[in-house]
Amino acid sequence: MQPMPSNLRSFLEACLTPLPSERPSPAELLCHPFLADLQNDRKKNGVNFSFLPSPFKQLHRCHDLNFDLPTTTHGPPPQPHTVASEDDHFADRRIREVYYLWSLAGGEVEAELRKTSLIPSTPPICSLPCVVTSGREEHGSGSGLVTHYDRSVLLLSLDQLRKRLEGMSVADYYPLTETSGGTMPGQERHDSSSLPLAIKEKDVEYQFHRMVMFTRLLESYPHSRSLVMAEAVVDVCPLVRAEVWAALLGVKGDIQEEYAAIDKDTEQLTDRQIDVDIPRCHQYDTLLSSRDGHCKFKRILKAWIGSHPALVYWQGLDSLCAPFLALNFNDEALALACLSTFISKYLHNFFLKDNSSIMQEYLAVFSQMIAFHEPALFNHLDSTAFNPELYAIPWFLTMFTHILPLHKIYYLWDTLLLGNCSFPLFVGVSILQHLRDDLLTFDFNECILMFSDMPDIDIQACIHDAVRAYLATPPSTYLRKHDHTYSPPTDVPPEALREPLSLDVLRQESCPHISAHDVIALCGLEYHALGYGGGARESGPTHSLRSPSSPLQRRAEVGRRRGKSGKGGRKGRKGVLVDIRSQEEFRAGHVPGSLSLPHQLAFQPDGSLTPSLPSSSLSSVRTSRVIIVVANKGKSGPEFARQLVRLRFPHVCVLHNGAAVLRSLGLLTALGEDP
Amino acid sequence: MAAQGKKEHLYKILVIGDLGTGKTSIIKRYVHQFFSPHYRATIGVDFALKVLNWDNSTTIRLQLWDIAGQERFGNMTRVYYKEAVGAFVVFDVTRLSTFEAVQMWKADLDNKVLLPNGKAIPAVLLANKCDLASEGFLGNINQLDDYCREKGFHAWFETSAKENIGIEEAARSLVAKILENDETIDHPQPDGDGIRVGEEDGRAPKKTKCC
Repeated sequence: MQPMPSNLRSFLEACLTPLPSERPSPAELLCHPFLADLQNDRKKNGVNFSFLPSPFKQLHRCHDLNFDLPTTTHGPPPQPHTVASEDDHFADRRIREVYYLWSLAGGEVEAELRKTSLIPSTPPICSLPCVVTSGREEHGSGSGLVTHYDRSVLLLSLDQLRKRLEGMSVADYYPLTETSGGTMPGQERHDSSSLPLAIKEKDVEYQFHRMVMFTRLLESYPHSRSLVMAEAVVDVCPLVRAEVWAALLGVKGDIQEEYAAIDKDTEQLTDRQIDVDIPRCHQYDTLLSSRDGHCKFKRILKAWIGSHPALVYWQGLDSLCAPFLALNFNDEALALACLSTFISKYLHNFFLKDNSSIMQEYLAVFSQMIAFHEPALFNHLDSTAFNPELYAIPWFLTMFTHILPLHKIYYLWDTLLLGNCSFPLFVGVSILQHLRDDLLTFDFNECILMFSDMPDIDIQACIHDAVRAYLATPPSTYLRKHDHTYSPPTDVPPEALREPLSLDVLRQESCPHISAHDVIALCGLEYHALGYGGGARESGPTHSLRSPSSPLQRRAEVGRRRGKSGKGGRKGRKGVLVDIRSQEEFRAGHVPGSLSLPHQLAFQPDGSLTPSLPSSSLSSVRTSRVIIVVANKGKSGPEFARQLVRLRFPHVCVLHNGAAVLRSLGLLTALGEDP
Repeated sequence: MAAQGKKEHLYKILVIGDLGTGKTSIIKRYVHQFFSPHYRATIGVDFALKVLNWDNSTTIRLQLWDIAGQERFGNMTRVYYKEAVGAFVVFDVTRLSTFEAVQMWKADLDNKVLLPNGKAIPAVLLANKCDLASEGFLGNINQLDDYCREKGFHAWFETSAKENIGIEEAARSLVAKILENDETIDHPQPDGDGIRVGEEDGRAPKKTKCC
């Protein structure tokens, strides 16, 4: 064993100092000779070595509070300030945290002010004199000259809060976050995590634990990013939403410096547009409608434009910026960093000067997802020519910020930020599902009126259904050319994957294409050819195609624990292959277990399925399986699939490149050779 | 269904013009008799419906398509313009640049949509926010008359959504022109893939219904 270098030893000893008051702070430790030497060594070898700065601002803690009390104070006389007693765990917390808990525990500043009559009970205008003579004599006012600025200081009592939190131990204030085995302490302990959000957000004890956990994790961000994500799967503590979102987005670096370096003042052509748009963007919010809010809004938008020379300001950018500004009202740099990261992740190239091809592809894929999940609605909207181009552009371009109020956006984005850039498609599908009953009875005119004034929707239920729809959809069906995050699975024969469709094909075909790779997983098949072993082994549930247990999947499990399970409990949907080639071709080679429904014979003149054994098998699994149409190359497959959608079969898709792919993967068996 | 002998028309009308010229405000005033200084920005397209009892025997439904001001720079307008039979082009009298954009909008319109007889759809020019106009901005009226003749506008009106000036008149003028066109044009059957505005509930796509 090598002896420990002396400076490492002294470093470790410093870390292990038992008395907290004598233990060096992290900032002091960073200057320790051990780390300094390490840094110098790396520099010599040409490796850049630096500590990741936290993107978050340092906020005042209670023990930083140091104000001179003016002579006139209301309320009880101030207690002598107890200097950070060992039991006062509030002293070490940020002021906003204590205020947050204080409010939750029933504190209300306005009521306190009223109690001490610091808020006058009569409106200021009533204290103006009725008549003022030219000699400045005043008549008819009770109070004479009043200044409405009052320098009084009111101490808010923490007694009630302390009583509420009596049961908390030291460990509750300082939870361990890096325990082995990966289970988070706290998570299991507080069974209230499965309660509805509205209740959890009002629960002092629950919010205390969530707040402590999140602030603890955020202190070690970016190192703790995955842990923050794991907690955000459960829910997000409203107090720290701004920082949690930044962490989920992966905001890093010295953002204050970067923000300061951007020119936000030079006049640009887009200033006019921004000036017109800001005063009509989420103006019910008191911060966003304030004068200060407008200035900040403009600076951030200009900074975004300035730092993205390849992109332009499209109307909607303002709505997109609104939630970030409202959450980071005192940190424009963080608001901009979040906005930039968000757009590059979820709205890649949507803000190009000519964004129509990106937008149209997104909408075309969205249309296919409507057909996949809501065939009856798809048929109706299609026949009334009410297509997504007429209503869904503001949905996706602004990620729903144009159509939802801020408090709903917060919940939606708490989940959206856990997903990838395709998840919003399913939020769109889910919104339509929630309006389905009305839409089905509406003609074109009624549809357009409904979307002009978006009806109120239950956002929690909507999010829940969106996650469910997302998890029930094979990923290859919503493949997009403009999805910059897409990376094909490795260890898979290339022919088992699919290429994105051209815009024309996407628009012609109502049903999505599916890759052979997804089909193999859905139908529990195995790769025979070329010695590929991967993929199929953990086959079965659709979502095994995704990285094991994605955040959204875990979110769905949290929802399930809430008892909403019922329909959500299904573990992925299996597939059924519908082979529509001629009977001869089917006999010569097909996938065992697939249904043979030759296209020419499958439908009766009225469009319904011709009664037969395979067609009744198909009808019996109509809601439980993903229906995969296997055809030869050409129009036959898409047409067959379209007819199934007309018959309101959900989850219909077409195997990309058809039977030829199955043949080349060695999956076809001649009749009589079925295993 | 309409009463005995009553004619019903459904017309698709576009409302276009630069952003912030007050298109949405004009529509809200016209349809809901209401004004607010802050409507949210329009992204893509927004809609409104107005029912007019034109005369004793005619009911007219106007489907107003409120196109986002920024769309002139996008490529989506072609989709929105399809099968429109009339248009309002709006500018803001307090901002010269929005007037300069009028001819761009008009050219875009004529470029992308035509009546079944191949002619340009009737367009009415609206000089909005006339309550805020400073003296002399509009030049003299003859000039704007000349401008309209030159650029192919059917008419122009000074309007104010805030003070409710000129909007009803402008709409009557446009609708009268559309009706006139409608009576002279022999409608071919619209092809299948268009947006079938004249059609309700998938019934026969005839723009005029007589029962």
